[in-house]
Amino acid sequence: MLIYRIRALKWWKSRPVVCFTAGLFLLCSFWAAQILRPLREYHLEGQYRFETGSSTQNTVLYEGISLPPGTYRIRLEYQTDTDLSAVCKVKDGTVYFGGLLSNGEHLYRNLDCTGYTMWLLEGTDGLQVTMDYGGKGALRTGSLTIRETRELWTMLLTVTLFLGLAVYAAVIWRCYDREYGIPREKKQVVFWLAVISMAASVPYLCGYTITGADLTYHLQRIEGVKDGLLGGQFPVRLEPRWAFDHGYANAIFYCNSLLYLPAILRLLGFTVNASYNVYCVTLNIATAWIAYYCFAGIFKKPRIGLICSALYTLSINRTYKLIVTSAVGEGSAMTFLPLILYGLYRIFTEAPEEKDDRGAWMPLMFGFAGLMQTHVLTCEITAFVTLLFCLAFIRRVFRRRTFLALVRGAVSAVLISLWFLVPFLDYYLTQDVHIKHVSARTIQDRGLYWAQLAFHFWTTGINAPSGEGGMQYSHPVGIGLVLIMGLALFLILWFSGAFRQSVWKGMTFAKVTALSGVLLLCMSLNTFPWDRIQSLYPAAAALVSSLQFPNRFLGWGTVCLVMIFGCCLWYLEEKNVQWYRMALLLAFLGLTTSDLYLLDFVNSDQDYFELYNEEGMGFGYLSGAEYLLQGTDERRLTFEKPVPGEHVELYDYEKNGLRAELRCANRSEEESFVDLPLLLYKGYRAVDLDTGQRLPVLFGDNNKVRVQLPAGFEGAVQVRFVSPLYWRISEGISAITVLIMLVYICGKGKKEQNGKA
Amino acid sequence: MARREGQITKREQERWLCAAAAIAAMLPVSCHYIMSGGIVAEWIARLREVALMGARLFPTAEILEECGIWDNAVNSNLWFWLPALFYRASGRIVLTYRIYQSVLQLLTVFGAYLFFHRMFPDEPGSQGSSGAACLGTILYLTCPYRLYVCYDWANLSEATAWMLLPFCGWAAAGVFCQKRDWRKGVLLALALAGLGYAHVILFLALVGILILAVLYFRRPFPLAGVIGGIVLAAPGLRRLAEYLFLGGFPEGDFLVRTVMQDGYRFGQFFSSYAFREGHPGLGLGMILCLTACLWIAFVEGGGKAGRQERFFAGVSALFLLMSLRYFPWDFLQRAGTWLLKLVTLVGTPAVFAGLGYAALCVPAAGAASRLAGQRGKKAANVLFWAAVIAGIGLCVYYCNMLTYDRAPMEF
Repeated sequence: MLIYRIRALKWWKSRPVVCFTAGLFLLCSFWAAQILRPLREYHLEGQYRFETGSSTQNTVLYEGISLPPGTYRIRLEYQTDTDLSAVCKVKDGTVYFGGLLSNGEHLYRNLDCTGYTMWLLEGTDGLQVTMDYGGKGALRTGSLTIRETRELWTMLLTVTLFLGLAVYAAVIWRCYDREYGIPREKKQVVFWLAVISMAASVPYLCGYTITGADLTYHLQRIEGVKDGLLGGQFPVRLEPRWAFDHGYANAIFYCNSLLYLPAILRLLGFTVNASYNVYCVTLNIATAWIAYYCFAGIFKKPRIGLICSALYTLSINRTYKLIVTSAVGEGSAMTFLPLILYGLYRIFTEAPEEKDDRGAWMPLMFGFAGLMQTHVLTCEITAFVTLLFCLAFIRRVFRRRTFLALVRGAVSAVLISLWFLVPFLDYYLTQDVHIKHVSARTIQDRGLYWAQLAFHFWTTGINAPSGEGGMQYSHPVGIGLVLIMGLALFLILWFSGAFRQSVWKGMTFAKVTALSGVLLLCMSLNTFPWDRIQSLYPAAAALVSSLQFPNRFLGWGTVCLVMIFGCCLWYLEEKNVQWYRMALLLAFLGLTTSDLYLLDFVNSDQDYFELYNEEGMGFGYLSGAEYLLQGTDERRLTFEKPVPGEHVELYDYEKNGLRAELRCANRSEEESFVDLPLLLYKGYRAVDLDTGQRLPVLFGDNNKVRVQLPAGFEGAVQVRFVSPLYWRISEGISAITVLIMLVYICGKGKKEQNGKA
Repeated sequence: MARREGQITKREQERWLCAAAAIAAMLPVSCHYIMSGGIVAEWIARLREVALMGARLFPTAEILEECGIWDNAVNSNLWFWLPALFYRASGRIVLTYRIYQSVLQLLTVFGAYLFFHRMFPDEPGSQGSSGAACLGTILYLTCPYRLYVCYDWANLSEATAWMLLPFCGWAAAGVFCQKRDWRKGVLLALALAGLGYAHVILFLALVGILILAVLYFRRPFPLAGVIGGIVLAAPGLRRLAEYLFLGGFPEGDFLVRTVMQDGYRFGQFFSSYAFREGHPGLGLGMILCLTACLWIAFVEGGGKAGRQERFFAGVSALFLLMSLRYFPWDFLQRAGTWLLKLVTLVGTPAVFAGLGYAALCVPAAGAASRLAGQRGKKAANVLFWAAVIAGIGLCVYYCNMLTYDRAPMEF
């Protein structure tokens, strides 16, 4: 219907649109021509030997290099016997500020050349390749090769197309409004959601990336997806370049579905900074819309939906997670929490005979699928919250339709996430990874003080929530005073009997939500007996330990309290307009003097960096190294070459991601081996390329892949990571489920439209 | 409707609000000392030099070198002659500073009041004002960039220029909006010349904008005022001309440098409470008004702004663009030696953000009256009070934090 109406507008026929389309076409053609043009390569000969013991900065190795605008890979040959003692950079004082983007690359003893990207936005005759040398170990540099890549042009093409589409969307909106008239209410919703998204995204519109404790880890995840895709994996299971090219199983344990967006942007030529910022802005937009959809659905009032969306999207806890600590996984998971609440609301409040009830399980499905694929810990907490609600509505749970809806939601979420869950469980059950050995960690002392719950004027702070420093300069770990005031108001109304007159079917649900919220807030406190639970129930020890911080409960605490605030608004609007206005004022004050206050301080006080190429941050940061195989010495991981066993000779070694090929010969009459710089997770396979026979793969030194070579073996060996068949089957099931869901949703939408017509 | 006894009129109420905003903006002056930080030391050095050496139009290279601050090397001392005289007579630098700052703030509120009342005059026969003039005055007075210039960066040459800008606007509005009147032309020339003696970069920017206005409104007469202003300001522009065209700084030298890296990042426009790199944002009051503007345009689909408001919106967009670190200042600097030097003199593109914010006060204030037309008086009142409270509140917050963070200057 909508498509027919848009077609009928014939918007593309107006002269300005025709001119714009022609311009867009020309510009895109120009970028396309640049992409199709043969790539250039520049080679420069030279040598430089650095004197051991004396550190130097900005030593110019090559200068006066002339290059046209473009993206280039810098390949400087070198020999060194020390890791991370020197950094190769490119500089240019002749281009305009911001015209050369690159962070350079560290040098490693087992690599023989650099391979980093630079973005040159203006042609130059004065490019320099320089070296910062720490003075440790020997260092000699050799020839330089600068290879052009297509990334600048693909990036510009993407930006142009995106802007073009945005302009077309605006034109269609305008024409549609003029012709058919878009209802004012809808416009209002779009406008305010844009304002909310914009307000939440301000820190990402500054061209830098604010650094939280986890930022490097999550940037590594994005780069991991990008490198995995480049290496031919789909879906990406092991990040090939992580852990110094050893391949790290982060993606198996920590699903990265949403990170495909920034990874694809990286592949299209965007910088690390830009890709990350675009991702976070997208996340903010999605959160604002989803929160609105859910809360407006609960209260059936768009205005309350908007206020709740603002309170949630700009909430203290979300800002803390997403920006202050850069906990991208948890921050992304918060996008889906309102869906679960909405799903539960619909399942438990809609009468079985209601027609609407048929799709009540869908928010639950999308919510749980989203959570599983973003942050497993939040998913565990959500399962706990769902259990609370089920217990509270235990009689309704066993109503046939309600039960079926719950089961449908859960099963379909599992099916959609099966592609991730099967490898996850497979590795969790069969691989001895470090995460399984952290049950001794206690968390109670990391809980909040009561005072933190009622804190209003949060700033960035410098202390992580450890309990040692009290509240002095603590990070903004709380949910904000306004939501607490909303809860207090709700409890006052409840216990004063005001809700007795209410006719809203969701009041019982709201009461359960309020109690759940109180419980969740209590669980985030340092007075909640987490240590006791850990010592009393060893089975729960690992689970509690894996929570790391009790403040993880604040995510759900925020969702519950936002709903409670919305409920107060709903009630007051019906019963007492004066108080309703006061509550609106309270929400406004909360948003402007607490949420925006924190956002401002985060954006002005917290450190930031501008990272363009992944090599600038290195490949070794593993955060807690939770997914390393137990016993692997993290400190010994660095770029390495294959290590042959006794009497083994190696030739023609080549490694690309998780695939290594080499020719080797075992000159002894006994079995020997070759250790490859790959961590031995389940799935590696070694094949004799000449005969096609499989060779045994064992744990080598520091849990590296060890290929066993029979006596007298000589030939080509290929080692690569292959997803087991049952992983592939699970991927197929997920794909089919998604397709079925899409068909179901489209069909439902069509039916609804036909019904309306 | 007759006014009841004891009841204050809306006009009186607005005056009180403007006074409250002025008091809020003067809070740091209530300290019995000069706050350290920024470049206040330069002002003190210049003042002392004038007091000791007599009425010098420009600071000497020695004094600038002594304090190591060259930001105002080509700006004249004219506006500091009177305070220097007072300092010479009293020998009390803190008192001189406090009086000068107080007078600056008071004249700013007066100038802004005049300007915004000329921009948003009360409609003939209406019972009260639309509130736009008061809102504009308060937004201008509590503009975070202005407060930053006055107290944080403490660039008193630029602060003086910020005091003069509304007078220039008032005079210009008089010449543009009304019939050909030579007296108004003279006023414009005087106001412009005053600005030329305070801050040459802002003077040049304003001259450029006035020429644009002449083209936009197709009224050539104001050009006479502009030319008169340039002529009157000529002695104050002498050093600039010598520096740009006669080679080198006449009494010393300072480094030619690029400014692009000091520009604003896009997101920095939207801050209210805190900022970094000397880049304050629009402030909550202004943001609320601008949101209302967009709301009127997008949701209501009407309430088209007047020609003047559109001109100011365009000017602010241009200035804000120029204040960004993505604006090609480096390319401009390559275009010629004099441009290289002129852009160096700009010091930081953030100066243009200030001008952009100042220009935005007009469409932002106009939002209140347009909202009244679209959604009724109640909505306009809500916006008015929200913006006023946010503006004055933030001003108090900013001044409080400044006085809280800054140590007294030692002499």
